[in-house]
Amino acid sequence: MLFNSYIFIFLFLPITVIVFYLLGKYARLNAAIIWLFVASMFFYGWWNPIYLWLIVVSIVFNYVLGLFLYKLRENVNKHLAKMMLIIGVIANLSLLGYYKYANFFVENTNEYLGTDIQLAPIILPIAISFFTFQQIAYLVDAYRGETEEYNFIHYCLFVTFFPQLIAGPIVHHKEMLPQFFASKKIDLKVENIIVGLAIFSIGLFKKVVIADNIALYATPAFAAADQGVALSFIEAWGASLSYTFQLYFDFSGYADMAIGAARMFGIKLPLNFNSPYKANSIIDFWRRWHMTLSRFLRDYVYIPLGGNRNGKYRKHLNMLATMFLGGLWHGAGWTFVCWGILHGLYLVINNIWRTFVPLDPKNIYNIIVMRVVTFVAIVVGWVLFRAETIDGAMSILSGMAGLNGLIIPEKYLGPLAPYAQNIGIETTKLIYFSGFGQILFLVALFVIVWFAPNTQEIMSEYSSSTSNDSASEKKQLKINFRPTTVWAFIISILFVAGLLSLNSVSEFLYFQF
Amino acid sequence: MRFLIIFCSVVLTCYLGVGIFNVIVDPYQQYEFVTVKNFNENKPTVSNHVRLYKADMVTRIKPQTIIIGNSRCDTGLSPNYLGWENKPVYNMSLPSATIYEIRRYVEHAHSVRPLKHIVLCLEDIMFASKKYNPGFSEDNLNLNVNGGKNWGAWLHRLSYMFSFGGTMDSIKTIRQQDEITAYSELGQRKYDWWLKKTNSWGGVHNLFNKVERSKMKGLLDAFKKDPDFLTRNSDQVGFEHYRSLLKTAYRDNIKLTIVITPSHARLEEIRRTFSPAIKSINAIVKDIIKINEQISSSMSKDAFIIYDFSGYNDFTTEKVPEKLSEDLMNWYWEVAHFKAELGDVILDRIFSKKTDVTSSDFGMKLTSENIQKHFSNKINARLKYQEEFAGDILELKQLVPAYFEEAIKQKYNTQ
Repeated sequence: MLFNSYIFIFLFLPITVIVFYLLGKYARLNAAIIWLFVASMFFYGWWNPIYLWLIVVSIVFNYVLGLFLYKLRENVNKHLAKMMLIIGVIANLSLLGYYKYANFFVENTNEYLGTDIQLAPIILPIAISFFTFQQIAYLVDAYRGETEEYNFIHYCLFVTFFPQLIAGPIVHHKEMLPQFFASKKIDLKVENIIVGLAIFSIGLFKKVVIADNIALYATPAFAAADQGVALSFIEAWGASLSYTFQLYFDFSGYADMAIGAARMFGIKLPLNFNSPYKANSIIDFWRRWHMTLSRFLRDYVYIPLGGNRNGKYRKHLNMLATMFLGGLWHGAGWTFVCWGILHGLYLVINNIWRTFVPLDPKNIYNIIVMRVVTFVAIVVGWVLFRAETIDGAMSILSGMAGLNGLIIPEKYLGPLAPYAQNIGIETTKLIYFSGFGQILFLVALFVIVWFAPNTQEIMSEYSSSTSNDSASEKKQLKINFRPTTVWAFIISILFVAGLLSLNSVSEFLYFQF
Repeated sequence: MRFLIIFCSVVLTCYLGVGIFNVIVDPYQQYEFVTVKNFNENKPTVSNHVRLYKADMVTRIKPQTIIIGNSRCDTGLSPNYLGWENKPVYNMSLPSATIYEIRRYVEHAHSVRPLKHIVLCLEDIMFASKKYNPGFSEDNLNLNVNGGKNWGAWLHRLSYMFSFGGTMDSIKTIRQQDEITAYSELGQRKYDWWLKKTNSWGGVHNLFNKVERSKMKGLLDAFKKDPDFLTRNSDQVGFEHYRSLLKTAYRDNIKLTIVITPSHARLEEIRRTFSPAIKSINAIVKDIIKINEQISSSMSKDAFIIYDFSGYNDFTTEKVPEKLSEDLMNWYWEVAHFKAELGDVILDRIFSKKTDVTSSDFGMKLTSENIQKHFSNKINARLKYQEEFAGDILELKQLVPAYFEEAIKQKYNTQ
């Protein structure tokens, strides 16, 4: 079920919230928790009920193993616990590997080794990347003795809680499970409903009004590049910038909707975005983009690999390996692998650069240059991320570098057209760029991502997430939400605009990962 | 609480207000609660939402016979033809229809009321790699892809009334009342619509040229995207949907008449610029015949009749008026679309009615036995046409970009 669907907005969400609070008031706390779990399973099964068994098996397996590891925490025989952990991690990764990477592996084996292995197409179960990572983190922490003896139904809800189930944030047991038993009674707080509605409405608007509309510029251009069309300079930049904004507003819109929906139940999710395009370096970018994935990769891949403890060369190698895996996590394809490695290289370069040229936060020119350079590097990365093929990505990157020529339609040049032609500028039609409409849209989005506060900052007085790391930018517009009449109008208009854009339903980009 | 009260009030007022306004204006002719002259009588935006409009309309007409194909059939074959045996008849053809869309719309119509007769118009391009066109939505159809009931279809069709797109089209409907609705009640594109289009392009000859150029561009784009788009065989995309459609018709005793529609000979000439690809165009026709015969035999039924009206004959080689002439043609609006007059000749042939205008092989019944001879006849007819209409051939040559011919040559020479 999609957050941006009629069934979710008009039926599923209101019914789930109402029944949750009724059970919380008139029945026991556990009844409300069980209801939320059942509703989450329904939400998951709506997509394809066949895969319900998969998530159930995964939950039971990991819960039992986690319990076992918890019991073994004080056992002197650490060897057994380690074996159990390894088995658990391998089982989880095997499940993910089979559903997500088997076809990719077989295709490449056949292509490069000349074999003829046949494998029926495997449908990727939705959310598998997310619930697998969450549970691997749980097992590792159980092994480290950092878990508690959690109630089974609480654990089930931790994994399946519908706002975060499909596309994150990747929640951690330490921040979720205590919330399920924090109080003995569920009280309906109007503030939770208001804050939840406000965040959800902003997210809906970002997704269906902004992301889906800017996608209309990006999608045809990327499709053309994948089919071998050489995009000219303006077309290539138009496509890559459009996608850069599409992805941000799509994914952060989803995250807002998730945080908003969870808040309606009085549950806070971790922040997943903190204005990533305001980043002044790639290191900074990864602290702001898909923050819960970065946290997972840092705590469960980078640090166990040695982190920065074994010298700078090993540190750089660990960074590359972590980002390679991060790229592969996003999808079984060479473009994702290249994207991951590219960001690994970015991080290595950024680290080396920092040792020679420390960032001066007081120097505004320094900040502007660093922000622009970082942004361009990110845009280049998104081209690899979005293109279906390496050739398609290279075609767009060539266009961005000006290698496919420059086209400026005659109507924009007027009397300068003959001069432009003399210096090699073509004056024919731009097929994959929509002119001033697209330019205006892109400029407006630039202003939003660089100068406007993000949802978390707007909602800062209501502690909208479990994270506290969204320190507001010092020199930017300050907008603070308050449950006033004016805000009620603003939020309801955003919500209506979202509703009126619903009938061209599109899936969230991160569903595929 | 005040916040929630204002929020709910604004949302309900705006959302319902928009919906009620759009239902009243009814830009896609779905509800027809209110029809006011010079306000919403004409529905000019239907042309851009044909897939929604026809999916909805068929649920109200509840036809026993449907005509389905691309815009050629949507223009040329009349549901008002007197010889139809099972009425009501609805022309459910969709512009640029793909075989997948055709299959899904047949399933949709069949779920509304069991069909007795389908006239299926086919063209090789329908079997190309594109699965469906913009505007196609599974959610608008009564059956889902697995054959189960899509309970929310009517709700989804209603949802267009609660959308920005629907609102913009309502405003356009009110403002453009001087433009007529493109379709008749029974789904056929109107004579007046074509007449207006012809006049706006400065006559038939200009309209011919305009469509010829766009067809050339379409072929070139399709070729660029997928150089093999015309060289597919029955194992590849498209034919599985054709198979599924045939099986449904044989299983449910629906009479299916397959029609290969007649474009004007000038379009045949443009298409045959792909001279090496001609083999693959013929291969698609052969597959259409073969699959039909295979399925009929496996289900122990008489094979459905396949009529070929394409090629070079008295109708398709009708002379195109001169550039500045205001004359209309007898049989064609432009190079791709034949008129209802020719559609009636086709239907006469299907229903075996005598007609005073005949052409020896117009509407040849194709079987795997006679197909090769039929192709040979076409080649001869083509040579005769090229001799007789040398001026037209020369004019068409100028439309073909040199690089296009070169691309085709390269593609086929290198293979």
